[in-house]
Amino acid sequence: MEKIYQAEYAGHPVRYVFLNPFTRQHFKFWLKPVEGEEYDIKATPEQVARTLAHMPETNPEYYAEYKFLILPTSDYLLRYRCCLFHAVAFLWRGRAWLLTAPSGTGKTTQFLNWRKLHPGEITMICGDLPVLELRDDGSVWVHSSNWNGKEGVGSFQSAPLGGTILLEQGGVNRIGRLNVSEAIPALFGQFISEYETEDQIRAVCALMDGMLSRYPAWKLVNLGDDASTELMRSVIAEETGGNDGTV
Amino acid sequence: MERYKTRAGVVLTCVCGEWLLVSAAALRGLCPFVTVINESSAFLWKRLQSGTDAEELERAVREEYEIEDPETVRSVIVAFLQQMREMNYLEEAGKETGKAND
Repeated sequence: MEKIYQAEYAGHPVRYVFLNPFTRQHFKFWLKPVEGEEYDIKATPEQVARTLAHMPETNPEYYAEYKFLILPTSDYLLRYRCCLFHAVAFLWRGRAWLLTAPSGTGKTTQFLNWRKLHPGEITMICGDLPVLELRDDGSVWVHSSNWNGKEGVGSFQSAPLGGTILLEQGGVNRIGRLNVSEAIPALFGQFISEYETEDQIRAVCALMDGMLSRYPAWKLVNLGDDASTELMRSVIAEETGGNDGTV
Repeated sequence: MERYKTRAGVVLTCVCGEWLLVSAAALRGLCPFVTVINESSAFLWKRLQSGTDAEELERAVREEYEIEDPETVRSVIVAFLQQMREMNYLEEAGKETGKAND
């Protein structure tokens, strides 16, 4: 009988069967074995092989399985109005702030700058793929996940969303509010989904609507230096009062 | 006038008041992933989804937007259909015969 392991994201259980026993190590403390025969997600050898083919040669097969599981996990969570979102999520003054951008754009750099400049002020929630949750009252919450990126920094914390900062590398430091028509195309690619079904598309759009209708979003064009981080921090604090991101 | 229907897998949705057409994964390479459309296009899309023919579409536009001039109504519809066709959001649903705007 196959061994089944369960993780919980935003309080919702997801049961896995792993092809490779070493895949479990990447989940760290997130998994516990469970009884029974039913599971929610299991990769096929072909799916893992396809994922591996798109990764650097040095990556082992079990890491490819771990990476493959991101998409089906996120699509599974959409039924609970939750979704993995590509961002660094950190806690500041009781709220979760999302630094989002394509990989290699400086999300972690901005987090590390802030932590260096204002020690003890912020805490990492999730370093790569936090779980966003749309609640019945329309609020959006941010939860940690085991997918914490190459730095592997994360925690088990959750917090209501404060706001979203879209990062873009540039030759100057500049920040401004992101309007909805700019934000929509930029954010679509940051939600993790195959977008295979109408239900999945509608669930992602409902989450995006919650994010953009109730919480501010900015675009930070930046050099990745300390000054850009101070600019971001001061503008967020000024425009939100620092501890209440709702608009 | 040729008849069209909305392509299965294209979803009309609204985010913060912005109307979007979002294509499911199976349509990648055929249709754009996300397109922002205006409110009148969203109105026409909803009518097409419910199987409206050309005459009904014209009547619906006249009533919704209180446009009396039939040429103006037709031009709005033709422009919408052309735009949607170019992006492969529509599928042919056969030919209409004997309609006023053939």
